[in-house]
Amino acid sequence: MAVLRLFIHLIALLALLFPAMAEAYDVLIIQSSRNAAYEDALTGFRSVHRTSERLIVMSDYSEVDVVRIVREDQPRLVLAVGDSALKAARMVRHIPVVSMMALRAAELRSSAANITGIDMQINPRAYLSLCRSMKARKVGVVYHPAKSGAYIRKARMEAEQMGIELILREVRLPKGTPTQLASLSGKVDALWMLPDPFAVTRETVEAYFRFAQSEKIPVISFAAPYLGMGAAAVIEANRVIMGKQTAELAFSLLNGASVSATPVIPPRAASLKSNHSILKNLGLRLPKTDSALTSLQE
Amino acid sequence: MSLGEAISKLKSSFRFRLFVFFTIAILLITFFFSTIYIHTEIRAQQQLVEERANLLAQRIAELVRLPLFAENADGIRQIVDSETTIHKDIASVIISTDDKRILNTFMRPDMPEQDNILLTTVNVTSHPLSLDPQSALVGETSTSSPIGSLALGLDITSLKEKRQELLISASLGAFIFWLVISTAGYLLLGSITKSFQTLMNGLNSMAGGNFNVHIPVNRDDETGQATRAVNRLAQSLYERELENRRLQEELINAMRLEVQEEKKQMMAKLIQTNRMTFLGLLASSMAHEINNPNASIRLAGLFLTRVWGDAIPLLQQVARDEGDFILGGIPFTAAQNEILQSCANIERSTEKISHVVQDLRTYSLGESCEFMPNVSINQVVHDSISIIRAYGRYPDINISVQTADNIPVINGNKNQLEQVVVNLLLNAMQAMSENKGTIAVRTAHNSSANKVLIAIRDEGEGIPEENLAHLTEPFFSTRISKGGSGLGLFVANHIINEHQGTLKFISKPGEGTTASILLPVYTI
Repeated sequence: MAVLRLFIHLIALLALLFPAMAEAYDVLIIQSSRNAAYEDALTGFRSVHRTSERLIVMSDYSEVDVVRIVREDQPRLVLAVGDSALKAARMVRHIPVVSMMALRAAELRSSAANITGIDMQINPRAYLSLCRSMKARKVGVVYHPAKSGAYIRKARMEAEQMGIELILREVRLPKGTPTQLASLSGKVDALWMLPDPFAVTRETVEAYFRFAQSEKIPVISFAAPYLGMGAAAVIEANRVIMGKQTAELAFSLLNGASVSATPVIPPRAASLKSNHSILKNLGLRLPKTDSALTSLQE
Repeated sequence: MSLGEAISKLKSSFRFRLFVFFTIAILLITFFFSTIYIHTEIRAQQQLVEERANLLAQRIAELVRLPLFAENADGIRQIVDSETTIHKDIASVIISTDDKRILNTFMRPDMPEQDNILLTTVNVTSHPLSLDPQSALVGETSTSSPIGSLALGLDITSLKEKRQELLISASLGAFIFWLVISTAGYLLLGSITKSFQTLMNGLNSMAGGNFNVHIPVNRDDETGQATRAVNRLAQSLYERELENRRLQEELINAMRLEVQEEKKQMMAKLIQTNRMTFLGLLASSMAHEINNPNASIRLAGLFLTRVWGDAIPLLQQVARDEGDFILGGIPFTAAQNEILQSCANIERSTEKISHVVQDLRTYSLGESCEFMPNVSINQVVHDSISIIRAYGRYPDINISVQTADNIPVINGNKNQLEQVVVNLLLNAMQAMSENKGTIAVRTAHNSSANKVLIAIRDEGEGIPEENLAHLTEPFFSTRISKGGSGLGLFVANHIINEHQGTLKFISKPGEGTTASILLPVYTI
């Protein structure tokens, strides 16, 4: 009987010990959904340093309570991949939350100091350089002041330096976009589409391309899928490099850097893609050198 | 020919019935396919109209997508006005937002009735390729989001007119098709049934009894093959008819010959019967002519006997006195007995002649049919043999008689029974080959059956088995040509039946014949 009692105690000890061992990790990765873009970014993230992690894909569950997981698992850092993941992780306040592949990182940073990460907004200089290479002096932009105001201010400064005039139209609701676009008729040489969730929606994105088609001007966008809808060129962040950039930022935080002193930074590298047919129809030619990417290095 | 007869003949015509069947079949098929065609066309037109309404609604929905999302009523009205100007059959357009607020209502001034409007409703959604920034950045696909709805009313008045035109044109086309096919079918049937008609004409001719016909073969099809078969059949029937005629003539000739032969045999029987009648009359006459001299001879003999009786003592005295003397060429001592015997012989012979004559008369006249209770069959046999022996025609045939002793008497007619036995004996004698041999006559008494038997067995040629059953039939004889009447055994069987007896024959060819008479014993 004594041997049996000892055996039972041993089993109970192992049952308590092993979960504790399994939950002892540094980085809790919250991924919005299973997606190739997220996988690319995570590949870049993991290529920098291997550390202990736990991955939770939100689309696999009906509901994910990140706060409870963080309280129970006590990771040292939360990596939120995508806007849904960032939205779920923003309630975590006592450990750093690093954003990757999320549009609202900069916006949420203003209300939560423990949130940092890599922004999806590429440095405006890259877009403006592309506009200049297209010989566009007047570039129309539709934006939501609260969502993209800071970015537009920065862009305006850059544009002034580059001799480009930004024709700005503010929208408060998505349904105002077609009207604002119509107001740009005859006033711009190019249209710059921002990753603004109010200025660009599924209902209004078509309006950009219809306007551009009717005005015979190029649309410069931020994601490759828009090339198929009518964008002349896009500059989008390199996801693998963005993952590496995020990893560097995360490890600096794990190594003791202050999260409040670590702002949301733009992507370090981007790539230029274009729709040659549209460029040809518009009579435009892009430089062979990747000036946009070069400008990001500055 | 009356109209009724003409219609009746037409109804029974195979060609007419085939044509009617063909025409009705074509009519039904035409009706069936016309109905399917009309139904299909109407459905296709309906489908086309529905598709047109849907396409128009989709087109306008595409055009008003952005103005609707922007809730730009003026922009929507301009688009709707433009589209309704181009597409005159648009009767109404109602566009509303996703929260059911109507932004545009268009109604044509000359609105058709409600029945002539096809209403189609489509949802106005975002462009299917449209992506929000997040989806575009991560490469996700997104579904179209609803913006509003569009209800389009299409004027389908022209559709109903097209349906009427379709009905008229399809019905007319079907009628013309039916008419053309029926006419072609009539001509084709006439060509096809031509050989059939020829065959029918030939068959009708054959039905009238004329088998010597040849139906022309027009084609080598089934009808042609049938015609050939009918021709062969007709030829066969014609040959059979000729053969029948020949056989009929032969039969008539044969029957004619047979009647003549029967007539000849009948005449022979009549002659024989007449001869027998004449023989009876002759026997009766002879008996009368013989009886008188015979009676005189008998009386003379009796007288001579008495005279000789009286003369013998005198002559014996003379012989004793003068010695023996010659009388009639012989010595008196020898002659006296010879004369006595001669007298006795005269008396006996005349008596015998008298008996024979009496028997002839009795036999020929058939008299004395009464039955007597004390008839001895042994006596009958002896008397019959006496008659046969007196007949003396078959001297080389020996008759062996074996009569049983103490045989009981029967109740019967002795003369008739003798007639039967004589008849059987004569038949037996006639059956003997070369008129030689022995006939055995035997009588017996069967005490258990209480019957007496007379059996007459010959060594003759025998009787074929097929003739045994016909022996007692009237006019049946195998010796008609030799004078037989065919009535002897018939009469004999009749006499025996009258005596409650039976007459049977047992015979085998080459082994002789035994005739057996069984008669019941007389009992008081």
